[in-house]
This record gives sequence, C-alpha cells and structure tokens, in this order.
Amino acid sequence: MPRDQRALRRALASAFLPLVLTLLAAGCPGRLEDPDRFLDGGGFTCPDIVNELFPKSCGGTICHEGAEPAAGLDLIAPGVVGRLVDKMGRDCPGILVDPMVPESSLLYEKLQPLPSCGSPMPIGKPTLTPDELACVRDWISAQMPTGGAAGEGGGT
Amino acid sequence: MLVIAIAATTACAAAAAPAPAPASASPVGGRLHLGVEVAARWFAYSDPLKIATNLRPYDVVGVPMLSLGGEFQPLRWTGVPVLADVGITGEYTFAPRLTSAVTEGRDIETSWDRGNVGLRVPIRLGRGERAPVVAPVVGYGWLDFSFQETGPLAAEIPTVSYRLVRVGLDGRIPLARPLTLMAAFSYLEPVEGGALYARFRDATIGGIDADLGVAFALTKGAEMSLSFGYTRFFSTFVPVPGDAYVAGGALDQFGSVKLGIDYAP
Repeated sequence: MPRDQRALRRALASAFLPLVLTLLAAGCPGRLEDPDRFLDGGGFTCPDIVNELFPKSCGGTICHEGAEPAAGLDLIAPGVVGRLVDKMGRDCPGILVDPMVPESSLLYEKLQPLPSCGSPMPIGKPTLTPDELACVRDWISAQMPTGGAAGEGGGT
Repeated sequence: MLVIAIAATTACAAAAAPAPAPASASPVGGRLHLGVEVAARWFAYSDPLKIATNLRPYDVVGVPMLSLGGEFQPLRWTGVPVLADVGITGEYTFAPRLTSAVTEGRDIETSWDRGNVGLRVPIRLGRGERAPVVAPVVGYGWLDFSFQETGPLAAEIPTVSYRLVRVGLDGRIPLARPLTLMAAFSYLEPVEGGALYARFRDATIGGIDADLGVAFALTKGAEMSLSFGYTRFFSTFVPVPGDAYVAGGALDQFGSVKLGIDYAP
C-alpha cells in the first residue's frame, strides 16, 4: 500500500475521532431537572388560570387567540371571565363555565381525554396534568354566577 | 474504533478509482444470510423519581435469536461501477422463546423481534477483488419488545415498538486471507417508540447502532461471520409535577453476539 494512502487514512481516521466521541456523548438519556419539585410537599401551586394557563395552553393565532379565534372563543384578550361564565358554547352544547356545576362546564369537559363533543384540548400542546385540571375545576367553582344570562359565546 | 476503520477505508475513495463490477453470468446478484445470535437487553430510566413505583428497569441476557436476511442486486446487469453493486437489503431477527421474570409474581411471555429493509450502495476503494469496500446505507427498521401482560403491571414494564429511519455506513476490509474485517455504524431516527414512551410527556428518542466482526471465507460465494452488535436508544422526557410517570429519560440498550453464514450464488 502506498505511503501517501496510509497517511491519508490516518488523517481521516483522526478527523473522525471527534465525530465518534460527539456521537457517543450525544447518546445519553435526559436528566431530571430539580427532582424535589416532584416530591410530596414539593410546592405545586396552581397557575393563574387566566394569565398563565390560558396563554400557555390555549393561546396562539390558530387557537383561542386573535381576531378569529377557534370556535369563536378568545381566551387571551381582556375580559375572559365575562366571555366564559354562564355563556353557551358555539360549536358544542353546554355552558362554558358553570360555577354551580364545575365538572359539567364545557371548558372543563373539553380538557378531559374524551370530551363528549369535538376533540380534546389543548391541540398540539401538552395535555393538562391532573393537578392542573384540578386547578381549572377550582377556578371555575370560584367564579361568580351571572344569574343564568346565557347569551353569545363560543366553544372551546 | 469501528467508525475509524470505516473512515480509514473512506480515505481511499479519492485515491483509488472504483473498479468495474465483476463480470457475472447472471443479470442480477445477491446473497442470502442465515444467523443465530445470543442477545441481551438492558433498560433503565435516567433519574427516575425516587418515590416512584411504576418505573421498572429491565435486564435480560443470553437470549437465543434466529436471523434470516439477504441482499438483492437488481442492477448487476448494467456492469456500471457502483451502480451494478447497489443492493436492496432486508433482515428479520426474532427470539423463538422468551419469558421474563418479575420480582414478585409469575413469569410473563415476552416477544422480541426486529427487522429492517434498506438500500446499500457499496463503493470499492481500489482495484481487484480484495479492495476495501465502504457502503452508505439508508433504510427503515423496526424493533418490537413486548410482554403478554394485561394487568396493572403492563403499565410499568418497558414495552417498546421502535419504528425508525436508519442512515449509516458499513465497510469490509480484507485482512490476511481468508479473513475480512466487517464494521458498520448507523444513526437511528425513531419515528415511533411505543407504549413506554407514550407514558411520558414530550418524549424524544434517538439511537445508534454499531456492528464489528470478522468474516471467514469458506468457499467461493460462501462465508461464515462472527460479529458483535450494539444498539442504543436514548430518550429525554419533560415531566411536570402531577404527571403519573416522572423520569429524566431512559436508556434502552441491546447487544448481541452473532454467528452467521452468507451465501452468494
């Protein structure tokens, strides 16, 4: 074998060594950040439903935000509570937020794995955890009923 | 080291013009492969939640497996260098019988198989039959490891169904007659992981696959090979408080010692 070919092989082999090391290093599993937050007493607190959870899980121009929100329901613009409490859904039957029967509220039902109408929410984003769902239920029950004046509104 | 070996053979690609494909009476070419393996799987979570009871590791070693495969070279008739050697490959490997033991409880019938189909483009790095060969490979593969368990335990054991795209290189470097060094490396891009990964929030999976071995020419067209294979799937999860399954990720490793025989008519 000619000497220059051997040298070329050695050079390329050396060049590939960092690549191999990189591939091996990249082949490690993920680590759990801040494990204590998963333990009992780890301090889970409900997010602010209107200002944190809705924007994170329901916002976006093709979702419930903007001039033409999905199902006609804007969950981001100011006045969310007024658009939800005791209002009927547009695309699905039921009251969006019924403080008297939180778990029958359309908003809460649409967050379940198998809602009775349409697709489960949120679409394209992580499903809510049991803790987050409980927060939504508690938030619904904490709203003040408007006296049953169901009018215009939208669906989730 | 095996990639270095492949890299070394690649180095000659520019230095040596590929030789024309060997003349053959048949318009197509190919080979058949039969093999037996002794295989193992090591599965463990990375940073499992300490208080979790639903994150079971899994180990099994010494599993006998059977393998059947081959390569079909439909363009041999062209006689065009490189093109004539392009091959469509396929292989299926399965464990005829496997049971898994549980710390407390009865054994569980277990199923383990894998397979792949691909396109292989061998490039001869020199002249003559004993020139090194390096071959880019692209293909689709799968690996299923499942348990016949329908009780609560089913939600805790690592059932996987990898569906993946494979991109890699394999190479053959002739040593002293009749031995040939074989090496292969692939990056695996799983498009699906199966039940295990569906339990976790935002699971991302990657994988690599490597083989290193030696082939021993028996007669013209037939050879026996002994090789070591290693496949590694690494994953990352993004759990949030309240999730039923909490871990940072998982490492799913498969290894095997393979004894095979290839015949090219």
